[in-house]
Amino acid sequence: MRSSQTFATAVCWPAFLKKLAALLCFRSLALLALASSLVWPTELRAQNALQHEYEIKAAYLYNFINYIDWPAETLPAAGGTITIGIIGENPFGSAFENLNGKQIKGRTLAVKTISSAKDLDACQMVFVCASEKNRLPEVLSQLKDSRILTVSEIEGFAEQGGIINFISERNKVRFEINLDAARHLGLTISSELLKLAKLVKS
Amino acid sequence: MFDFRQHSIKAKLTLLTMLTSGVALLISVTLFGFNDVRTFRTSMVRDLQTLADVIGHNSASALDFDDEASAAKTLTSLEHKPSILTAAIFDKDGKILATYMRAGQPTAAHAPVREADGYRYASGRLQVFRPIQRGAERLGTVYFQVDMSDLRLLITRYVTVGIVILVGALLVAFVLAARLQQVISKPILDLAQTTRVVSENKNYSVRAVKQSNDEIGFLIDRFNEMLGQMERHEKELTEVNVQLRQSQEEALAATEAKSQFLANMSHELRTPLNAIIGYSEMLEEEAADSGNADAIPDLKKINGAGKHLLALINDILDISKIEAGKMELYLETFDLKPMLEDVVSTTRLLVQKKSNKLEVRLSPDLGAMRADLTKVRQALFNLLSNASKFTEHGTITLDAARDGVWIVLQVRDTGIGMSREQLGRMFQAFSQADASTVRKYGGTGLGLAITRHFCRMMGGDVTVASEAGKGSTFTIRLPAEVIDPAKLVEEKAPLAPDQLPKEGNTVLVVDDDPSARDLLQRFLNKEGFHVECASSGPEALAAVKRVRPTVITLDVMMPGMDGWSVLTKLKEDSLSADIPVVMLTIVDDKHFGHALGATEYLTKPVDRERLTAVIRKLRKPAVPGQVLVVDDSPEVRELLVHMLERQGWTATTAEDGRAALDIVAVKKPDLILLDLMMPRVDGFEFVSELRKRLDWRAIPIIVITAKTLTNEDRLLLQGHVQKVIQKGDFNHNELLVELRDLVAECVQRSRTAETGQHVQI
Repeated sequence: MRSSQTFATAVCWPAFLKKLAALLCFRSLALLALASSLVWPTELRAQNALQHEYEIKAAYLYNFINYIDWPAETLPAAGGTITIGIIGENPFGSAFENLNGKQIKGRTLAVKTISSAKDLDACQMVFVCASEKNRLPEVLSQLKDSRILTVSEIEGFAEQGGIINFISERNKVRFEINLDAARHLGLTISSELLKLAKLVKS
Repeated sequence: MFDFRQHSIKAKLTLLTMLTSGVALLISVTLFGFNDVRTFRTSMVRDLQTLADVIGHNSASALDFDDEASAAKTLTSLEHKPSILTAAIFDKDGKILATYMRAGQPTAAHAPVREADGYRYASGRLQVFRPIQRGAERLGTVYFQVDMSDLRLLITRYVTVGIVILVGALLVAFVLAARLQQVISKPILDLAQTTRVVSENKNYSVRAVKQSNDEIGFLIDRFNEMLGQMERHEKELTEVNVQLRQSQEEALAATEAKSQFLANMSHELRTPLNAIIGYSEMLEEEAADSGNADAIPDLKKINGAGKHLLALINDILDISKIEAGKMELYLETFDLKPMLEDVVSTTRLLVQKKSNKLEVRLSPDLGAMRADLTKVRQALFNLLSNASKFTEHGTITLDAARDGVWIVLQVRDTGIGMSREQLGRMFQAFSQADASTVRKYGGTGLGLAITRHFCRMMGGDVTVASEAGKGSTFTIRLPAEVIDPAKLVEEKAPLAPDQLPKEGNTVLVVDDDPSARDLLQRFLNKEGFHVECASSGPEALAAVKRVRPTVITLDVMMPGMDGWSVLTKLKEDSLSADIPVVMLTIVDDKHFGHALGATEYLTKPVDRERLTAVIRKLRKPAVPGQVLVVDDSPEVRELLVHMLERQGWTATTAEDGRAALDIVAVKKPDLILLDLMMPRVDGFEFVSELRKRLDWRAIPIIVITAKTLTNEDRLLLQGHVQKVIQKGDFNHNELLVELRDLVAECVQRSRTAETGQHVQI
């Protein structure tokens, strides 16, 4: 992409400038790559990428609210709070900093860590962290009769009765949806969201 | 270039109608077109925006979850909208999420870049940027690039349809206008036609037909009224003209009759008068012889009265002759002194009768004069008797002197003189100072009028200066060499035959009779032709080869070879076939002559004038001469010059007498064609100016005038001009023919005259 752009612009230039520019562009790119590999340790770079991934996932969690209709009794009245609960070891870091307290659907978003089953009552959505992978059936059975949208990043989460599960597809964050599970809980998922998702069944 | 004013009112009306409707149509078609295109564009933009909104709405989730594939799929639905060439969805940061490019489109050089919301035109394409929003939250931007060829197509279609409508409507408008304009143009054209008929045919009885009650109808009514008035006037005028012409004819006839009567009567009166005078003289002598002295005074009275009466009759005769234009000049050369002394001695008695003294002062250089002796004498006698009649116990002086080419005779008296008013009527016939003058002083009152006419005829004049109570001075100025142009040629001695120009001027006379040959030769010489003679046919044929005559006169009856044979021979030879032959014979056999090729046929005895005319006609054009055309009308000048030049003469022109005199001063022409009525110096003045110079007097003048000449005019011109041609008398061709002959004759004359003079010197 970048080289084609360079080429395209270079078409207009006189011939001698064209060569020079191509050379300079290639040199500077190579130098930049070299420098960054020298300056940042590989671990640090991986951590950084991870942080970015969870920022995206946090934003997706927030965006899901727009495409999900909860039954009226589970949603607090306008002006109330929509709560996202985090079950397990929170991988988001500071990713929710910008989203916490933001207005959505006429309500305020709140993100909190779930420490006991009691905490679940206030939640409309929960994120089941990867740490809960082993005790997933337990968590799911706990949430089975609630009206809470369940989201996770554990492989096979949706097939096991979860509603939305983040997956990775060509280095992009995508998600799968178990529509039956959602229907079972009385949640309506917008077709807009469905068309983006990979649909799975229990 | 199209000049609108040059065209008929028909074309104007049609054009106006078409122009008006065309402009209105053009404006409306253009406005409708613009409005439609604008509406089309607005609706197109609105549609696109709606479409963008739909696309935006459908890609909201893709934006939310950064799903390129979904966004791209949404954009794929644009396939059904062929006019959209490129589309893109940007996220809220302006980063491209998905792009769409219509199939068959060349790949854009670079990706679209987000710009401000709204729509704009760039390089013939419409770019739409439409925000994607959820409530107040900005999600991204939809971008379309739209092909405007639909709009262009629409515009093209509008222009085409517009032109078709315009042309069609103009055609219809033309057909309608061409028919409807007649409502207005027809009456006007009819009116125009009527005016043309009126002005061309001078027919005032036609009327324009009124077709409507509008302004044109009004115009036609007024026009018809005017025509009516003109018709009436024309009729009245014609009647008056007829009456006038009748009156004029009657008056002329009456004048003629009067002159004729006077002439006859005078003649008839003279016969008995001669008897009275003669017998009274005889009785007087007898009375003296027989010693009957008592009777002598009575007889003297009878004799005196008779003589007076005779004088009166002579005067009346003169004046009537002058008025009838029949007075002629008889020029002769005489010494002035004896003539003057003779007149003085004749008048001495008359002068002494009223105790007047007569002083005569003759200049020593008087010498001889060429004039009409009788008329000079009579003029002078009239002045002297007039002076002695109105002077008592006074002095009458006669001065005679030469002033260059002029002879001046002056008669001065110390008599009663005249007032200014009397002076004015001085030279008019039958008008003396007043009626009582006749009773007191006697006389006819014709003397001075006759004197003036005589002087003018000879190219001079008589003038008077007077003061009441102190006397009068009469002055006669006459040219020392009076020339009567009418008799110019006759006056000249005939030229010796070998001095006549031969070229184109030779007549071969063929006759066996020597006396007939001699007669013809003399006569033709006198007329200015060079003559060769032949006494027989063979001699004639030889002469023809030798001298190449211009014209041949051929006698028919000749011994040996007769005229017919000669004619046949002449016509057989190609060299002589073209020479005109005039047959002269006692035998009248015209048809035979013409059949053999004779050009003219005259019977003996030959009518000289006719022969001259025939030969002149047959002769080749005269020697080229210089003719001066004086006329104030450029058309007439041009016509005459054209005619003259065609005859081989050179012509100069002058627009009035002044200019003509200037030209004559530079180069003397052979002939002058003169108009009378001209600005500045008119024909009369010109003639009198020209006749003052002796060397100019010989120039022949032909007057061509439209003026109806009065008697006075005739008298003024008489003796000074060759011929007066009335423009009205002839139609153009006749005038030209007449003029051509005259000019030829005059130029020839003046040429021969000049040649003659040179030879004599």
